[in-house]
Amino acid sequence: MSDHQHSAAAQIPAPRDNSSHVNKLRNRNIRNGLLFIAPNFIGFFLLVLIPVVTLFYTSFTKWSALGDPQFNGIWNWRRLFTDENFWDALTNTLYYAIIHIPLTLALAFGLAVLLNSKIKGRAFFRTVAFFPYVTAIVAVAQVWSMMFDPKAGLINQFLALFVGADNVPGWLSSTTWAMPAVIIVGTWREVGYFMILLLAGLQTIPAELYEAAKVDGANAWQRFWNITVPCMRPTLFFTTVTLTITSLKILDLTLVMTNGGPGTSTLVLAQYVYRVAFERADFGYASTVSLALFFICLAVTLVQFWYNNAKEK
Amino acid sequence: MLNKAMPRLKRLIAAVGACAAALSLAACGSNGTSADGRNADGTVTISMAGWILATRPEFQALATGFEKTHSNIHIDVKEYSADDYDKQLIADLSAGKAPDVFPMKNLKMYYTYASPGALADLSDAAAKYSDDSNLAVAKDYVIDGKTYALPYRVDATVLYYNKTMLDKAGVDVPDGTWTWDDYLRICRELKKKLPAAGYKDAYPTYHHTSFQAIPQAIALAQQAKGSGVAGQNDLFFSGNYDYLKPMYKLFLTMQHEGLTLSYNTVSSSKTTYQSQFGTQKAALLPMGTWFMGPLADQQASGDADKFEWGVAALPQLSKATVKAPVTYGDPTGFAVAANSPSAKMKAAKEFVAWAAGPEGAKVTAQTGSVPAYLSNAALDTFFAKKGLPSDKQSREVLRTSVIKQENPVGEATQVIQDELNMAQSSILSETKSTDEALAKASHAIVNTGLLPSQQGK
Repeated sequence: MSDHQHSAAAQIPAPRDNSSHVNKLRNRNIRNGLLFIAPNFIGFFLLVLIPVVTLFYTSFTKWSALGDPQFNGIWNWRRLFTDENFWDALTNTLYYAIIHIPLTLALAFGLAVLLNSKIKGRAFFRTVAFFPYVTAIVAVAQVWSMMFDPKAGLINQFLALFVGADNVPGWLSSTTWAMPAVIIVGTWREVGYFMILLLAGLQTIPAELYEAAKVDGANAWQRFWNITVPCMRPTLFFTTVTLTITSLKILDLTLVMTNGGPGTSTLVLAQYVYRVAFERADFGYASTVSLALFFICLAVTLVQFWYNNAKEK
Repeated sequence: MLNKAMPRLKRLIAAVGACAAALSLAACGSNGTSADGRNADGTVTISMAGWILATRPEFQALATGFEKTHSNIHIDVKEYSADDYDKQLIADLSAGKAPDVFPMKNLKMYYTYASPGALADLSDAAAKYSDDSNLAVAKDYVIDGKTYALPYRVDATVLYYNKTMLDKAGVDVPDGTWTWDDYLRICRELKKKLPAAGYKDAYPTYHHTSFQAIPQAIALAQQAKGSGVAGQNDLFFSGNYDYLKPMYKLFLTMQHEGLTLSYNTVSSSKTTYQSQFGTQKAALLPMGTWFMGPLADQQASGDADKFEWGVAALPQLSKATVKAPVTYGDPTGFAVAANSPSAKMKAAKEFVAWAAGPEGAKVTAQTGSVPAYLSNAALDTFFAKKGLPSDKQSREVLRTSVIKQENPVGEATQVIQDELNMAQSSILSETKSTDEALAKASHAIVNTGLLPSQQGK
C-alpha cells in the first residue's frame, strides 16, 4: 500500500523543498493511522489471528488443552468423514441456513419496502421490527420455549382451534419440529436487523428514477423489479453474505432453546465444536471440525462474491 | 515514507515491550518467596480452588481446620465458577497458573487432568490409607497403579422418601430391600392412593432425567460384575450399551403411566429435584446424598415444606444384590499441581492427605457433606446436623451400600458420557427407539478410536 503511494508520489514533479513537507505529512498520517487501528488490531492479532493460525496446526493433533498437542497426521480428518454426529450437525446447519436465509431476506426486504413508503406510524413500526434484535437471547429463548410447549403453549392452543388438539406439532420435543421452531425464532429475531440495513439501502435510491419510470408508464411491480432490485444489489449482496455467515455459525439459539436435542435433531456445527472441545476436552478434533466449518463459510462466501462480480459486469 | 517513520515506531514498540517486561518482572518479584515457594519467614502459603464459597462452606472450613494444626502452612482459597469449574481450571492449568491444590469435581474429567502430567503423583500419600476400609473410594483414583488425587467427600445415590406422604396414603416406607419391580409396584399403588390422601397434583416419584446418570449410572453399577472397578470398566468401555435397556424400559413405562414427570416436561420446564421433592410434588426421589444437608436447611428456612423424610438403599435390578445394595457416586477429591515449587508441593500433599483422613472427615461432615472417610465417628458428626433423619436405616445406608463409580476412568470417558447423554435425550423424549439410539451412540463411540481395546490396551 505505502509502496504504491510512494511510487505514485514520485511521479509527481514536485519542488524539492515541498517534498520533505509532503513526507512529514505522510509520516504523520501513517503514524496516526497505525495508532488509531492499534487498539483494535492488537486485540484482533492476539485474540483472533494467532488462535486461528494455530487452529490449522491443532487440527492435525490430539490435544486435551493440557500438555502439548501431539501430531497425529490425518487421523482427525479421517475420523471426521465417518463421524455421524458431524454429518448430522452439517445437515442441520445447512437445513437451518437454507430455510432461514431466504425467509429472513424476503421478510426483511418486504418490511423495508413497506416501511419505506409513507404509511402512518412508520417510525413506530420500524422500532417494533427492530425490537427482537436488541432483546437478550436467553430471555427470548425462554419465552419462546414456553410458547412452544406442546400442551400448555400459546402456539399449540391457537393451532388446536384449526387442526384439533391431537394434530398439533410437538415443537421442541419432536425431532421433526424442533428445527422449524428454531428457524421461526431465528427469523423473528434477525428480520429487524436486516430490515434496517435494507431500509438504509432503499433510501439511497434517487426518487427521480421512480418519477421517470412513472412518466414512462411503469407500474409498481415493474418499478420494483427494474429500479429497486438493481439499485439494491450492493446492499443485498452485503446482507446476504453476512446473513449466510451468521446462519452457518448459529449457536446461541439452539444452545439455549434445545441444547442440540432432542437427540441430535438441532445439533449445529458450532455447537458440536463447543461440545467436542469443552465437554470432551478433545481440542484437537474440535479444531478439525471448526476448520471444516471455516472452509464451508469460505466456499459459500467465495461463490457469492464470484456471482456478484459476474452480475455487475 | 515508512523508513523515516520506522525508528519512531520501533521506539514505540520497544517502549511498550519494556513496560510489559517490567510489569511481569514486578509480578514475579513481589511475592517475596524463595525458589522452593517458602515465604521469607519460613512459612508456606498454598492456594486452593473452590466454588460458590458463600454457600459451600467445606473449602474454607477444611482450610481453616488444617491451619489450626499446621501453624506453618497458610491456605488461600480462590473462587471458581461452579458451572464452568473444569473449563476455568483447564485454562489455568494449561497456562501454568493453577492453584497448588484443586478439587476434582467428579471422575468424568479426572483422566484428562491426570494423563498429560498436570497432576502430582500422590501414590505415597494414598499408600497410608491402602488398608483402611473407611476410605474405600480412594481406589477410584488409581490409573496404571498411580494415584493423582485423594477423595475428601463422597456421594452415593439413595432413595429419598417423604414419610408424611407415604403414611397418609397408607403405603409402607421403603425398607431397603426393594427391587425396581417393587418400586414400580409401589409407585402404581401411590398413584391410586395419593389423591385420596389429599395430594392431588403429586406424582408418586420424580426421576431427574436431566442427569444422565439417572438411569445410566444405575444400570452400569448394578450390572457390573464383581466389587472392583474392573467389571464396571469392562462394561462401560466395551462399546456396547445394551446394558442400559432394562432401566430405560422401566423409565419409559413409568413416564407413560404418569408415575413421574416426563422427560420432555423436565427438560423444557427445567424442573429442579429440590422443588419437586421439597414442595411435596413427589413422594419418592432417587438422588445423591448431597441433597440431605440442603434439604434440612431448606426445611428450616421455609424454602421447602415441613415433612418427615428419610433415605433408603436404592432399589436393585436383581434380588441377589439386595443385601449389599449397589449404588453409584463419584468421590470428590483434591489434586496437587505438578508444577508447584517443592515446599508448596510438600505442604499441599500434606493438606490433601489430611483432608482425606479422619480429621478432614470430621470437618467435612460438620459442613453437612458426606466425608469420603466413612468411619462411624464421621457419620455421627454428619447426622448430628439438625433436620437430618435420625432413623437407623437412613444412617446405615451409606455404610451398607456398595458405591460404584458414576464415571469409570479412562481416555474415552468424556466421549462415551457425551454420546450416551444424547442417546438419553432421544430415548426419553421418545424421538428414537432405545435400540436405535444406543446403536447410534455405540457407532459414534467406536468411531473415535478411543476405546481401550482399540488402543491396544
